[in-house]
Amino acid sequence: MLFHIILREIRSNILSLRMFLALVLALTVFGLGTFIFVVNYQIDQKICERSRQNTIGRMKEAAAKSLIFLAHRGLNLDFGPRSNSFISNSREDNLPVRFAYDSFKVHNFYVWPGRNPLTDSCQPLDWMFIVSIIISFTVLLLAYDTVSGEKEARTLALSLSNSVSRGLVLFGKYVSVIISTILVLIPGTILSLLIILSLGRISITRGTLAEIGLFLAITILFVACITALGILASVLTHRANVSLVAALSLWLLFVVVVPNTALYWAQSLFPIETMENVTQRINMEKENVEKGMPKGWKENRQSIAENYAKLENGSLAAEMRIRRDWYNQMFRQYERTRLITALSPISIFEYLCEAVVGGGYLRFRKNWRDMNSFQPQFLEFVKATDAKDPESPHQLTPYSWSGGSRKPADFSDVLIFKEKAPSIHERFSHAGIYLLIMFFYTAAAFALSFVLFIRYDVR
Amino acid sequence: MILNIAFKEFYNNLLTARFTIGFIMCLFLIPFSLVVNLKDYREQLKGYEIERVKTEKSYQVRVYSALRPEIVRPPEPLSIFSKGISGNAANKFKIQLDSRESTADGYETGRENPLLMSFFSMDFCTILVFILSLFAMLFTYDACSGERESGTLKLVFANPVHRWKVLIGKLIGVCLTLLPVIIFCFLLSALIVLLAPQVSFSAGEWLRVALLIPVSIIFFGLFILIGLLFSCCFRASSVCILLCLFVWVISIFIIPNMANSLAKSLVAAPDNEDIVTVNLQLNREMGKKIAEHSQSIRKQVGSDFFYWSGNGGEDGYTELAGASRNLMDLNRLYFEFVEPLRIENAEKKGVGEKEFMDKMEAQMKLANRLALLSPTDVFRQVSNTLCRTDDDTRRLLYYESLMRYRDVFIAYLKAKNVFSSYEYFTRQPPETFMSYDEIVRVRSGGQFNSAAEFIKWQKEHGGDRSPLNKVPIPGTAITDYPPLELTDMPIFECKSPSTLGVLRQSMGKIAGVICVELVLFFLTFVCFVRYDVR
Repeated sequence: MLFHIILREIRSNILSLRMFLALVLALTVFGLGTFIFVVNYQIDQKICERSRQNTIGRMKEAAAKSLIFLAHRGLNLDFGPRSNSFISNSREDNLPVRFAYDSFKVHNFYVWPGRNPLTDSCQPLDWMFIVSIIISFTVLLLAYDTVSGEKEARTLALSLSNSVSRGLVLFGKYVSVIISTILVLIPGTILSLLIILSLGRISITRGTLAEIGLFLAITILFVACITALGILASVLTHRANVSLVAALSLWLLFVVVVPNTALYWAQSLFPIETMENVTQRINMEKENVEKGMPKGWKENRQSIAENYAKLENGSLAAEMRIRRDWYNQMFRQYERTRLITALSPISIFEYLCEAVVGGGYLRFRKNWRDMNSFQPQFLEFVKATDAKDPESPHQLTPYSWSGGSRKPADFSDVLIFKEKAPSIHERFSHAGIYLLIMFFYTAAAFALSFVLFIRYDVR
Repeated sequence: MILNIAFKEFYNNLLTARFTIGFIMCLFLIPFSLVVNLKDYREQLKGYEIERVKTEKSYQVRVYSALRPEIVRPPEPLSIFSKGISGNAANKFKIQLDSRESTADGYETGRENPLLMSFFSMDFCTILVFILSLFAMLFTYDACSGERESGTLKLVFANPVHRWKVLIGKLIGVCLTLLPVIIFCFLLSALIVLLAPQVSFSAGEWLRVALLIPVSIIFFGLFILIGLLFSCCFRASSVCILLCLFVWVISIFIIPNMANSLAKSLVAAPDNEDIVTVNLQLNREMGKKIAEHSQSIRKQVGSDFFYWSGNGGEDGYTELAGASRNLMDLNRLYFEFVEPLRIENAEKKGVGEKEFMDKMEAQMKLANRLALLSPTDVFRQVSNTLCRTDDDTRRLLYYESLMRYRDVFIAYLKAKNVFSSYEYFTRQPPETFMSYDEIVRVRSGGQFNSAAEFIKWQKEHGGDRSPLNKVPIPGTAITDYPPLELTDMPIFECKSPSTLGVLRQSMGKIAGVICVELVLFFLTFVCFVRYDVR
């Protein structure tokens, strides 16, 4: 019976105009979006590769001059575009993708400097965008009149007069909307993949295929969630056009209002220290370190180099402690704000996609952590090389240049940071809470619509 | 008769659930969007105040080499209504001799956390356009097809009334429904702005807000006509609503985002690294010239580097007092040569930077042109222009006036001939300069007769300078002098574009929309006259 209901619903959906329009729109945007992605990816890749080469060139130059020059050389680390960002760009255009570091510290992070400041922030037309806007919209269009529309056409009473439980009818409708939506989605993704393969500029590895599979799984979950909400809007009212307005309002709330008010929540609910304050604290700590030095240490000629090293290392450690604390405040602010935006299934879907492709904030945090554990290794390397030079005073300090080896270093030994994609475990732990919320949402919406449908007056 | 129909439509609309839901959404979202943006504006204002206090200190200098005017731009109050790109650009600029670049540091809209850049935000105009364009279509999609389905259209036409009168009546009816909502939204927002602390609009700013009303009415007219056209073209209202919704989604979500990405791939993105490399090369060349010159003047004047008190910093800042005459002469000759050279170098570097910005602008302009396909984006562009948050205003207000001010400032320095005067780096009158020998003799109270003696003694005692503390010479500390009197210094000023000019700028877009509306109206009219009511 269930199978029968589903089949009938799908058949009527396939023949409907909305499905046709959605299919045309989805195919167009998938095609154009992927094409634009391939072109832009190459442009970004080229620019980022150059910046990376220049950084390595600077390192080589510094190493050829002297070890101490290399140790103090301020370097940039850029994370280029991901080849799988056609699935989801995860707002990497607006997230920090550049770290500034030298051998003593990882100083700061920046948004890509080549970003055009004159254009509004926009979202690239990746799969995630298409699913979260076009597909979710299609789902609503398919779902808004499943119950109220049939009631108006008076077919609902006829359906229910058969020996079939109401729950089964509702579930049949629910599943059929999901399947119809997938029928809209699949041709688009195939077209997109075909474009990527035929242009041949981006290789699709086994990992990417796995990510595509996961993306589709998450999309089904997301579609299930939106369908439940659409059916809820449908059983809430007795008239199809009212349930359409209700569904659209809900959609507007989730797509536009909740994600776009994040900045407000961040600023008002989770304020962080101002930069002024942090600078002041750093200066105070530095003064304290200087005060803590033994009296008259500047006059003591014998241990002056040692004491200088102690002072400088001490004040750098103090500064970095405060900075790290401040950065952690930023991370917390960002994460908490994201939890608030998890009110909207569309935001949740975005975060889940981020976990699937290992991009966006997940990638940023992973790289930041890796970078912070890489930098001590780099310093260790500098120290070890310095120890080999008998002429060096062996007093490496972060600000002055006199305490290290002045001999050139062999560049082939120099450590270079390599980005690692987040592991399965990291991705899963990133996605865990959002998955739970999404499940909860779907279950709650479906349960509510089930209850309302049982009590629905078909007359 | 027309009015009769219009009022009937109006009452009909008022009683529908969609009107209630739409009105409630406006009631909640409009105040909320304003509160969000007021908060953002106040944060910006806070940042601005902090920076402004710092800026005032930039004029409290004792020598001309330290005089580098800093300019902070106040946040744009109208960004509460339409944000535009006002949040993307830096708000603090420093005029420097060796760089024309003006995108300096400063508070980035009070967003200390760069991660927050990835959260998008919406403003009053966005919300207005989202909700009202949707409701404009929802009110019109069944104006004709819906009445046909319910069979009332036949009855209406059975009366002695022209079809065009019915059409106009329906149009007026929808306008009557939407107009109060639009005006209500604006009144509500004006009230919120009036009640908000720390925010005050000038008369000109209120005028711009008022101008937003007719502009938004014109734009919603477009959506009303689109809905009406679909309604008159198709027989089933469910088809009309579908088409309307697809047009809406494409116009709001797809076209603007696609335009931006497409513009990025069509106009080659400029590479920052190029500029860095070119500038490095230019700086190196200049450095070579400066080094040669330094050697030659050192030979000419001789070199002892004694000064009693001094300070230095970026962009040529040097301040000396109690220095030996040789060092003073050396510095004067140095700056006389170097500063004009640095200004010239800045011009050279400026070429590449300007190209970079030009490309960015070309990219943005193309994106805007592509986005003209979407009526909502046209509205966004017009409202940004009206609210002074678009790129043209930014360029006029800041980039161009800053460049002009830089030229004026440099001309001022040149007119005063400061580069070749001692005043550039010291306030000590030239007649009080002493030679190194003299300074040592006076300061040590006769312990040493010449600099050579002192240097020898100093070497033996590990760099000790204490014997020179015996007899102080007045006027040899940089802090002995008051700040410069800068009454004749040019002041930065920028005129904001006049309301009339802004209107003229947006005229093309508004006229385009009106033309499209006329065409749509004509088509609707034709379809309606030919409409089969059976």
